[in-house]
Amino acid sequence: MEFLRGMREDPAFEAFVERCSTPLLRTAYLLTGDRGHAEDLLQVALLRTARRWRTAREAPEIYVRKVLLNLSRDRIRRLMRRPREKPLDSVPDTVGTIGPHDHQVAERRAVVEALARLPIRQRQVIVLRYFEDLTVEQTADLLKMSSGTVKSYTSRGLGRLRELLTDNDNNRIARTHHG
Amino acid sequence: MADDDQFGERLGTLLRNELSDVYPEPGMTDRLRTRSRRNLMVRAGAIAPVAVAAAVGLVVALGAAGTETSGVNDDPRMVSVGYVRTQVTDALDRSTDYIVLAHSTWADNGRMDEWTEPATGRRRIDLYVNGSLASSATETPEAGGGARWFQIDYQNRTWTDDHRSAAELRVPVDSFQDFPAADPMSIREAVANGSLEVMGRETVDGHDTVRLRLKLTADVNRLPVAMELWVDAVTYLPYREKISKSGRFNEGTESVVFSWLKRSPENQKVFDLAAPAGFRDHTGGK
Repeated sequence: MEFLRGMREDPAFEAFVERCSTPLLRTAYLLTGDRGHAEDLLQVALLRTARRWRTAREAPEIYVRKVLLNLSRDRIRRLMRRPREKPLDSVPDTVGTIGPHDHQVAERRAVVEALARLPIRQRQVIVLRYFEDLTVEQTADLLKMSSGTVKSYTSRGLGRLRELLTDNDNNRIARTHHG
Repeated sequence: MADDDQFGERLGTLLRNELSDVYPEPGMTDRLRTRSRRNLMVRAGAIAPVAVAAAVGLVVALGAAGTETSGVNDDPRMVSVGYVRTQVTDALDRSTDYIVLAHSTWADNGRMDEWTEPATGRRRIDLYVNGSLASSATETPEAGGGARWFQIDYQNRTWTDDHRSAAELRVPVDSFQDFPAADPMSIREAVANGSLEVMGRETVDGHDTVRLRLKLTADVNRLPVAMELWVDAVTYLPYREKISKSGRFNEGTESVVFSWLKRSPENQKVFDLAAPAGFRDHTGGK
């Protein structure tokens, strides 16, 4: 009920939802690795933000991201406890001719899949640092950890991604940049 | 670090390109309004059947399943929905006397064993994939309100030892909690707050049980959840639980059989999980 009242009284929340839903959904997708769960996570995070709008309205982008990060951690733990559903639209490996565009698509998908295999903390740090372009300090603040810990998770996460991507014959990014 | 940053920036560019066509479905604020109303309706709906039952003194005869009749509560076999609800929740309040083993199976041959010790809050979860033990994990509450999460991954031959602070555990859990899980307190919550029907007496695997049906509306992807619960006819402790979900995600049925074990040192050993020799420490992604 508080949420409904809040929405009628403060159009700023509606504007915030319209402005931030797309980037937040993309972040949620990278954190969960699943479009359906990302949509659900985004809705839960926005509802929580709405219920605390008086507090959150000063810096709603930060507030909703904190909620989203906490929810994603709990969600992934719960998903690990239950067998994952199989995707309905899995594409068979029957590509005939591979052109330059196919390589780019394969490379991008390989990165998304490799990211989904990282432990949640490393995944969160990599997404915030390099997908959202946040600084080490901003990432540390959102995740309630020290800058040193963020750097440590970043280093481990990138190292693991290099391993995973190097294993993938279709991907050249890790070899290109591994120094 | 410069090389790391260059690599990370390249990854970021690829990720942004990959997700450039990902948008929320239109009408987000309308969907949030609908969902907020639905949450309120679930809470209100859960209370309504209890109120109606109390108001008219509804009594259900415990005969064969599906043969409920209304009548007067002067037959020992005749108990009200409210009576059964109270007996089950009271029995579950006494679950601190036990270690509860919940043996869950899914339609696709998935299987999980979960031990909970309500008196201490300790848990252990063994997950089986294709018939083989894939992972074991224990959660142990710590002083100060935090918890230790120790997990062994048998497939990758690794183990992790994580700690969550009290503040992290206080973060409200997400809507997955709307699903009644296979632990005593979650079942108690479902029985106390769900829309309850008493279906009748039934013998299951030689156990004399009372069969109950609950209707919940979990708020995950708007899935309706039907739950059937067989409680022991004498102790009213759950013996079997069956949860059915339908929708785009997590469609299927989960069946759980409960064992109520005495809290003995022998039975408590199940919570003493240790890393097997030769397994690698993967804590924090080491």
